[in-house]
Amino acid sequence: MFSLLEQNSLFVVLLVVLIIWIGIYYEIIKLEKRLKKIEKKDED
Amino acid sequence: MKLKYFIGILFVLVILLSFIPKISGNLTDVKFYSTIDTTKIIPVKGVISEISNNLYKFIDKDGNEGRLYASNITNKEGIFYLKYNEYENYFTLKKFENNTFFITFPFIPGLEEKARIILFHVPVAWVSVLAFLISMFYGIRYLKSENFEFDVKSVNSASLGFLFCILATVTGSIWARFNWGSFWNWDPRETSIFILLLIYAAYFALRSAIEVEEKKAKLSAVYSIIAFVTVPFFIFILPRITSGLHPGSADDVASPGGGPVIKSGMSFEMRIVFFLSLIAFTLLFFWIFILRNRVTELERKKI
Amino acid sequence: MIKESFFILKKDYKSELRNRYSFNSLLLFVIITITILLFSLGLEDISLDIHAGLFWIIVFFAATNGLSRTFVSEEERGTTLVLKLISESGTIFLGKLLFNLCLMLLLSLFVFILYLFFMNGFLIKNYFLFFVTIIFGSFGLSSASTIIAAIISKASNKGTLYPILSFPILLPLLIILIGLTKSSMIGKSIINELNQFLLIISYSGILITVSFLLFDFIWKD
Repeated sequence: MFSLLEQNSLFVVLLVVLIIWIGIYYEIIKLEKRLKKIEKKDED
Repeated sequence: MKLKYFIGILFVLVILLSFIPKISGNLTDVKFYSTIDTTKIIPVKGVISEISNNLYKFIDKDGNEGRLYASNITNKEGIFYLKYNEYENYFTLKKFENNTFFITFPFIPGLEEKARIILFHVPVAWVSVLAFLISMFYGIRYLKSENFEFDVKSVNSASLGFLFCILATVTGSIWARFNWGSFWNWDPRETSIFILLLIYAAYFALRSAIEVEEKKAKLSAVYSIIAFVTVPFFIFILPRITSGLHPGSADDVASPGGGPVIKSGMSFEMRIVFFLSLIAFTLLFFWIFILRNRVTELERKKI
Repeated sequence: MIKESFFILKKDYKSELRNRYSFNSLLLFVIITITILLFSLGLEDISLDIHAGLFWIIVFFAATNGLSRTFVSEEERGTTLVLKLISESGTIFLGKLLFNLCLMLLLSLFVFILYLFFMNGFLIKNYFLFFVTIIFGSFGLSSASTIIAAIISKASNKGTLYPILSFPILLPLLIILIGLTKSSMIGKSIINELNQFLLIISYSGILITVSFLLFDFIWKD
């Protein structure tokens, strides 16, 4: 995989953007889970 | 227009603008790098007009002129991948690409295509510093007023700042693997960001070690202030005065003591895209920050 | 204010003389560490870089043991309230800072003497630079440690929390000090290293100023 990335440098940038996106997406999903828990508690 | 849609559109724009433009240096770059590395082929955007058989006059995007020796040229305008022949004072064509987009990014030595990383890796790091600053700001406000809302905001900002710091470190490490050979080199800037991660990890350790809410809030506010005082030293001062691999260190050939962002390494167009990216990430941070505050406040009220 | 802080320094000094608890544990810690090092190294020679690093590792971890004690002992003995009544917070901070400074100086000198006697290959060519490094190093290390000691004295898990909090803040100082020690062993003159000392002073200075301003909030419950 690394040799493929080394030849096409553009994919390195893509990997970087992907990592940033995954980190931020993970944070937003965590927030949604917390919100769901509160809303469930409200109903109980 | 609602904020979240604006952020979405801005991000799509930033990603398009960072991947579509092609890299182009100018003829001065080609001449300069032919003296340093004879195997380097540098893309230059320009126009050609024929002088004689296989000999062309080449005008690049900045207006420099040169003689181009090439066969099999089909188009008169585009991105020409050139090498410089010093003895005969002409350029030779190695590859040709059709370019229809009006912006090009400058040729930054050592990076070429990977230069686009600047548009993502640096804004993430700067937003992380901003987040730590906001954490200190709310820490100060808590110490003055003893209102728990400020403590909530201080922690949330610090958590987000920590996340962005981890992202900056991981992306930087990936960049290091493809630029300098290995994932971690203990370069001064890498060491600084590692220490910063430790400092804020200690912040969370401190918070989890105290049970009483008031004390937790007060002590972590004090620590967030102390921690942020060291941040400018680590991010802005130390990596610029010590020699290392990262751009902007003391022995960087192209931009010593500053880096492409602070000094002139980026062209006007690239600077605009960089600015857009910075705004996009800052707005994203504030959006997640506000959401987190609302969720934490709800949790506190329910309990 | 400065006179009163010297009173606090004297009081801590006298209470240390009385029971010698932290002094003894520090000495023991250093002796044990150096013994372990001697056993693990055997007759092998190690490079100057490693010597410089080991020296400051021993100093730092011994300091972890002793420096936090300035505030934790007050909490344990229950004398915090008395201190709060006697003098204002700035004075107490200065007094504790001075005590930590003296402790660090003594500790570094002690480690230096033991290290010199027992470790072979520890040759210093520029003694002046080395001792200036120790003075500045003690100043820097104690400046950050005092405020962290104050913070953790109010927390619950004091023992393990202190290294976690102080290590990252002290790490840049340690890196600079190890570099300076290396230079003093090679024999570089002090003039080349002046900007390193400037870094130490500025870093410690900022930390002391901020700690001084923030100490009030920690001290007043």
